[in-house]
Amino acid sequence: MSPSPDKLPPRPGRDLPFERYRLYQWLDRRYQLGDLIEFLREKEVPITRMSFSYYFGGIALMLFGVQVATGILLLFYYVPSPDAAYESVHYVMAKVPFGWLVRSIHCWSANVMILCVFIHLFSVFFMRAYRNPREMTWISGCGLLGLVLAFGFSGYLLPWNELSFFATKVGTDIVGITPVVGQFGLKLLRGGEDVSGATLGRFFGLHVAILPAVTTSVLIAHLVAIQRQGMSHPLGWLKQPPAQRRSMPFFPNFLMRDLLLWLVVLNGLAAVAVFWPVSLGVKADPFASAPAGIKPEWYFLAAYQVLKWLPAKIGPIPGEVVGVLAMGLVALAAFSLPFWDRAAEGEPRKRWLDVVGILTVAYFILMTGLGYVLR
Amino acid sequence: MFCASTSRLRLFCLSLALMNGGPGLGHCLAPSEAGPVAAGGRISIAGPGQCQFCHAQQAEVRLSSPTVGLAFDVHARQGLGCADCHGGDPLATERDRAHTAAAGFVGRPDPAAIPVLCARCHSNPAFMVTYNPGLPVDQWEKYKTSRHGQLLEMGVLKVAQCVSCHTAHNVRPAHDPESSVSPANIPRTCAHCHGDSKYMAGFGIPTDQFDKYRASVHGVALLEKGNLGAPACNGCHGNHGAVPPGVQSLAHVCGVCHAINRDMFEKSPHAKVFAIQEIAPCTVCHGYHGITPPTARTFDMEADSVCVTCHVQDDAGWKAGKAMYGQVTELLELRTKAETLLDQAEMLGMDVSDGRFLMRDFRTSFFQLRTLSHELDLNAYAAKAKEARDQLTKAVQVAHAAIDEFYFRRKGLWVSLLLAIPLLLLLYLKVRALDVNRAASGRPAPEE
Amino acid sequence: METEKPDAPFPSGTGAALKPLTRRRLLNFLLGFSFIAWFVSVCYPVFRYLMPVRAAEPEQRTVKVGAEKDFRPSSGIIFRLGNKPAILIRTDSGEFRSFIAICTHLDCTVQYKPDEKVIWCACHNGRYNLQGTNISGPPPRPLTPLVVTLKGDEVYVSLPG
Repeated sequence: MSPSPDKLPPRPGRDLPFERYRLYQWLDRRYQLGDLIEFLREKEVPITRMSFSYYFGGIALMLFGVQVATGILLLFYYVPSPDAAYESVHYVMAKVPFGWLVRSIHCWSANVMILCVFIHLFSVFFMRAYRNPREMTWISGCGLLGLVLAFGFSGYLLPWNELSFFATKVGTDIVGITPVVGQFGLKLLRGGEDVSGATLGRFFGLHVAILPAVTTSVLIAHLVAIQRQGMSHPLGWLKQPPAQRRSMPFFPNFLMRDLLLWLVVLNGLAAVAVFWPVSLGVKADPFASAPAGIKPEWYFLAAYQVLKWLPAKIGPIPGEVVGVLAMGLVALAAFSLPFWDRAAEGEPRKRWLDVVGILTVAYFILMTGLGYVLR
Repeated sequence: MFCASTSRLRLFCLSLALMNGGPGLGHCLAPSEAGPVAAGGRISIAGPGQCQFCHAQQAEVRLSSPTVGLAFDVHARQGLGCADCHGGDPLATERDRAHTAAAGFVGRPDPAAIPVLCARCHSNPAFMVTYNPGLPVDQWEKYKTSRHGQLLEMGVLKVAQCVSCHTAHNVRPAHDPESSVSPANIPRTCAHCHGDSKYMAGFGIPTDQFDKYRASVHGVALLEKGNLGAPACNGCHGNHGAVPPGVQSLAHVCGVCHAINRDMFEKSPHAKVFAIQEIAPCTVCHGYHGITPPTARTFDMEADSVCVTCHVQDDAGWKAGKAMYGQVTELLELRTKAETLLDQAEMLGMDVSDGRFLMRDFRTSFFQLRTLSHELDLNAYAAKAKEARDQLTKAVQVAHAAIDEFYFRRKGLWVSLLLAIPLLLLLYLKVRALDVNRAASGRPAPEE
Repeated sequence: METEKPDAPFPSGTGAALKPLTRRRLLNFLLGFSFIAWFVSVCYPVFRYLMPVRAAEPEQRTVKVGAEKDFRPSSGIIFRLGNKPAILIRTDSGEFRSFIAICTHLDCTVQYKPDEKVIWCACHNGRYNLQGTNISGPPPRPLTPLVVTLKGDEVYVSLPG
C-alpha cells in the first residue's frame, strides 16, 4: 500500500485510530488539529479511592444533553398558553407515539441532573478542587447550579396543572419576601401581581430560550477551563511519591468509562420512565383554593421547610425575611469559597472545611426529609 | 269599609280615605253587606291607624302576635289597615272607643266568613288591577270547588280557609322564601293540619303524607336540593281548588313534567287496560307521596313486584317484564365492568378520555332506555338496549387497549434493554482492553 | 498507545487474505454494531414521535366539522369538541349555529329536531330554540354557544374567547 501524499508517516505509539480517516485529514489540513489532539492526549485522571466522584460532572453534562434533546421534542407539541398548555401536555402523554416516554424522561432526567449537580458540587468541595487556579471553574459551577435550579423552577410551571400552579405561587411569594427588591422581582417573575398566563409566557421564554443560552455559555466556559487546566490533583494523591501516583489518560480510558456510565444512566432513565411514569394531575384553576399539603419540588424542600419553621418575628425583623437573607448569605458564601479558602492546589486540607461541608450536607438531607414527611 | 251607616261617620270615612290617599272617593260598605262590591262601585281603604301601637304592648300573645309580622305583610305595606278587616275605629287610642260596634267592630272574624271577606277584594278584578295586575282573581271560585271549600260550606269549621295557609297578619307573596306559601314551605304548611293525626281524626284520610313526601324524590329535590322545579303539594293537588287528582287525571297531572313518560304510557297496552279497570296510572307503580327513585326491580316479576298483582307467570306481560329486566341487569353489569376497567387504566396512568366520552353517551342512552319501559314496545326497548350495550362495549375496548398499551410499554423496555445490555457489556470489555493495552505499553494499569 | 500494527485503510487490491480477526478487531466490530443497533432503537421512538398523528389537534379549541356544502339547511349534527359533544345546526336561511350539546338539566346530549326546528333533549323533553335559549321543560339555563367560522368552504367550530 502506498500512503496518500498528505498522510504523515506513522509515529510509533502515537497513531490514533481516527487519524487514518480521510475526513480527519481533511479537517486537520484546514484547522491544524494536531496541537489540540496532542494537548488533550496528555490529560490524565488521578486514580484514588474517591475517583468515582469524577463521573458526576460528566453525567450532569450528559443529562443536560438529554434535557435539550427531549425538550426540543416536547417543544414540537407544547403550547405556552393557559388555555392550551395542559391540553398540549395531555396530548403528548396520551396521543403522540412515545410522547409519554419523552415527557417522563424529561421530568426524571431533570431531577437526576439536579441531584448529580449537587453531588458534583459537594465532591468538588471535599476534594478541594475549587482552589487556586480553579476559582472561576468553581464560580461558573455555582452559577450552573443556580441556572439548573432555575430550569427546574421554570419548567415545573409549564404543564399548568394544579400542583405546579400553586408551587409557583408559593415559590414566587418567597421571592417577594426579599427586602427592597423582593416585590419588584416578584412582579417581574410573575408578569403581574398574580400567577397567570403572563407568568406562563415568561417562564416559557426563560425555560426554552434564555436559560439554555446562558447555561450553554457558562457550561462551555466551565468545560474549557477544566480541559485547559486539567483535572485537579487530590491532596492524598499528591502526597504519594511520583512513581506511585496512579492515573489514567482521559482519552480514551476515562472517556470510555464515562460513556459506559452514561449509557447505564440513559437506560436507567428509560426504565424509570416506564415503571414510574410522570403524572399530569388536574388542570390549574386560579380561582380554586390551594390543595392541602402543597409542597415545592424536592430540591427546594429544604429551603421551604426552614422558612416554615422560622418564627414570625426575630427581633424587629419578620422571620421569613431573616430566612431569605440567610439563604442569600449561604449562596454568597458558596460562590465566594475560593476567595476565603485562599490555599492553592496541594496545600493542607483545613479539616474544619470538611466539618462545615458535612454539616451542610446533613442539614440539607435532614431538612429535605422533614419537608417530605411533615405536613 | 266597615263604616257605620250614619252620614257623619260616612263623612269621616271619606276624609280618612282622602288622608290616606285611598284609591278614590266612594261609598263605604255597611257591615251587613256581603259578597264583592257591585260592579261600578269602588272600595276605599281605611289605612293602618293606631291599632298596632296598643296591641303590640299586650302581654297576651294572642293579642300582640298579629303586630309582629306587619312590617313584611304585603297588605300592610300596601296600606290596608286593621280596621279594613276587623272593623272598629282605627284612629281611636282607647280600647272602648276603638272596639265599638258602632264603628263596625267585628273582632275575630268567623272562620266560615273569611273566604268571603278576602274575596271582597281578591275577586274584584277592577280593584286588584290597581294593586297587582298579575294576581289572578279566581281564588274564591276555585276554593268553592275544593274539598276544603265544600266542607266549609257544609259547616265543618276545622278545614283550611285563606288564613290557614296564607296567615292573617304575615301574608307574603309566594316568591318570598319566608312566605308560608313559598314552594319550599308549602309541604310544612299543609302538614300543619294534614300531618297532625289528632287534628285529622274523624276525616278518614291518612296523615303520613308529609313524612312520605319528605323522603320521596320530589321532597328531596325541593326541600334538600332547593330545586323549585319539583312539585310541592300544590303541584299535584292544586292551590285553591285542592282536590286529590282522580284516577283519570293522574297520567295528565304527572305528565305535566314527565311528558315523555306520559306519551309513552299512552301508547302502551297498559293505557287502555288501566282506563277500563280504573287502575291509577303512574301511582300504581311509583306511589304518590312517597315516590322513590325508580329501579328496574319494579318489573323483575318477583313476589314483591307490583306487576304480579295482575300478571301471572309466563303470560305475555310477565315475559315482557322479565325480558326488560334481564336487559337492564345485563347493562348494569357491563357498566360496572366498563367503569372498573376505565378506573384501572387511569390508575395505571393511562389516558382514557375517549372511554369516558363513550360513558357519557351511554348515560344518555340508558336514560332513554329507562323511559322506554313505559311504552312496553319490546322491539324499541331491545334496540335502545343494544345501542347502550354497544357504547359500553366500545368503552371496555378503550380501557383494554389502554391497559394493554401499558404492558406493551414494559415489553418495549425489555426489547430496548435487550439491545442495550450487550452494548454495555461490550463497552465494559473495551474499557478493560484499553487498560490492558496501556499496561502492555509500559504505563501502569489503572485499577479501580 | 496500541502495540499492534495500525491497520491499512483498505484491504489490499491483490486479493490477499483479509486482515486477521484479532480479538481487538472483533471487539471493535461488535461494539460498533451493537452501538448502531442500540442507537437505532433510540431513533425509532424519536421518529415515531415526530411524525404527525392522525388524531385530533392537541388544543381541542377548534375543530373542522366538514365542508359547507355537506350541510343542508334545517339540519343538525353532533360532533366532538375536545371531550365534549357539540351540535352544529344549519338554519332554514342557511346560517350556521353551534352550541355545546350538553343539556343544562342533567347533562344528556341534546339533538336537533327538524320537524319542530328546535334543539331537543330526549331525556326529559327539554327544548331550546335555535339561539340556544331554554324555552320549555326542565333545563334551567341556555346552551353554551360556540363560534362558527367559515374558511373557504370549510366549517370550523371553536370555543369562544
